[in-house]
Amino acid sequence: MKDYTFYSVEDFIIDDDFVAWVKSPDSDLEAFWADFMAANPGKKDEIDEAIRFVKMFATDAPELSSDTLDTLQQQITDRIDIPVSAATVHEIVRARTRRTYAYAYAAAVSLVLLVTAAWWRFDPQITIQPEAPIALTEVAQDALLTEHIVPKGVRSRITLADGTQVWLNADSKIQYARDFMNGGNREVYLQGEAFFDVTPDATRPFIVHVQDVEIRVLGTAFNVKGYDEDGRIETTLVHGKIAIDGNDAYDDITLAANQRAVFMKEEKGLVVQNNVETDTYTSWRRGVLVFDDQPLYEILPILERTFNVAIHTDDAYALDCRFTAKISNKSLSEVLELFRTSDTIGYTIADKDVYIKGSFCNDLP
Amino acid sequence: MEVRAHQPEPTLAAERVFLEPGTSNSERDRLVWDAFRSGSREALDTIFRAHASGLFAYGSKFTKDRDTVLDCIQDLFVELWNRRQSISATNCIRYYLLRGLRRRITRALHGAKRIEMASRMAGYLDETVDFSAEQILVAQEAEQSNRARLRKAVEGLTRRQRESIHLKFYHGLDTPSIAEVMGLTEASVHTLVSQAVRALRGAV
Repeated sequence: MKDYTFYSVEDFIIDDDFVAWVKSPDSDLEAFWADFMAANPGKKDEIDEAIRFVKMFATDAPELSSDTLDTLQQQITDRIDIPVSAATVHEIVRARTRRTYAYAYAAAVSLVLLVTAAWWRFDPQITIQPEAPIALTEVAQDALLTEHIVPKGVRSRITLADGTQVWLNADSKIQYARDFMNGGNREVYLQGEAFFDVTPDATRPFIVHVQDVEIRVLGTAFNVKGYDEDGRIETTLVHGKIAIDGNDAYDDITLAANQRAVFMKEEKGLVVQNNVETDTYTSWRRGVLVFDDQPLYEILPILERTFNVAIHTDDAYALDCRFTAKISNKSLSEVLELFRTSDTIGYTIADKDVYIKGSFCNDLP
Repeated sequence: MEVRAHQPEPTLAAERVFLEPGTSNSERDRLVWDAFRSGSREALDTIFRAHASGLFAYGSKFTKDRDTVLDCIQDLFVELWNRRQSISATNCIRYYLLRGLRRRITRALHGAKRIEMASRMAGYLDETVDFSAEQILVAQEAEQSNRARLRKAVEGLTRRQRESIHLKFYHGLDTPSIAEVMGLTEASVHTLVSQAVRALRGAV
């Protein structure tokens, strides 16, 4: 190493090998500096002062909780283990007229779904090619739709051409025109659940179509949940402002930060909650399931999607019973164990079916 | 684990890394990194555990949005893993990771703010980097009075000076690595660090 005989305190502080020795000594460094100090006892004061200075700076503080670290590590592991094509992307041809479009589109979608289902179930290693476009003569280039399908048991994140980030939850689908950036509005069609972090652009509103509802935003972050079978559309706004157009089916409303709107299809009703803990509704994108005093009839479908299983229960009363839980990246059996320890149930897992025996809440009639 | 039952088994780890007591830091980093490059999941876990907190600390200086930093770290590891066969050898893993994270975060912030920032693009990074003193720099163990004075002195530094001493004293990077991470020459890094150290020494 260098000759340190004439080094000043500042020279030591700036020296890479000196800092390496103070911060993370290994045997080579220890040996070198022990020798140096033995040979140059006159440098002791300078060295001590330099050490004191370097040690005033923190080393890696535990700024992340071990929960957060575990979650992050699990997310990385998940993405490494899941085939890249887990969220399949397809391009579907849309014709000019609405009728033809509907026909071609329906055919394409059912084909896609069949292929996806078969692929997922039988051979996860086959990568499917994008569907061949259905031939329609007067199809313009700008009439193509891009579609991302996320099957049960998987989550996905995509970035749209405008920089908007979309996290897709299990069993969800999003579609948008391939010329997404060229139209007046930025429009996407959602089935299932997604979290949007929308890139601001005042000149081109971002519109999410979910069932009968249109959610119109400029630049903001929000969660939309609208699975067909749930009978409700839930919108939770993290920051910014959004307008929801009920399209005659519901009232139009405007949401501010930390508000949550739930449209109920059957009742044609609308509930707006203020000051909600938005993390409860958005933490799924980090692999965390949060249930806040929710009945089982809401919880079980979420578990089914998350773990790609069908859950069967023989206790009709059980579905009304409520649970509060926060579950980070657990396996299905670990989650079921949690329910088992909190109540008197037993369960059996048979491949993709889960059978739950016993009663969830003892205090029900 | 049921949830992954239908997915392919992860590739089995390449041979384990055995480290003799007394292995030097750079030798250890080189061996662990080589194991990572040849597909060892154990090496991936080791690297993640050793560096995730430090990466988060560094990334948080560029944006207050925790999720963006966490996402960038996630993407960084996944991409390194996917490209493991083509990435180069290193004997300083931390430097390799910090450099990757800095690029990624810059790109993420750049993309998100593209529209409103378009006219001020050139000075972008300088405007957003926030190596504020209260967040990091000073160790809990430092004497109370010194700590207060050091913080105050750190606040008086320029952003680039703060970033350079953060990389040097918090992460322990050497001058060539800091130069690579910050995109500067070694001489400029040397100047930045010297000026900063002189200012801080004057204060405590």
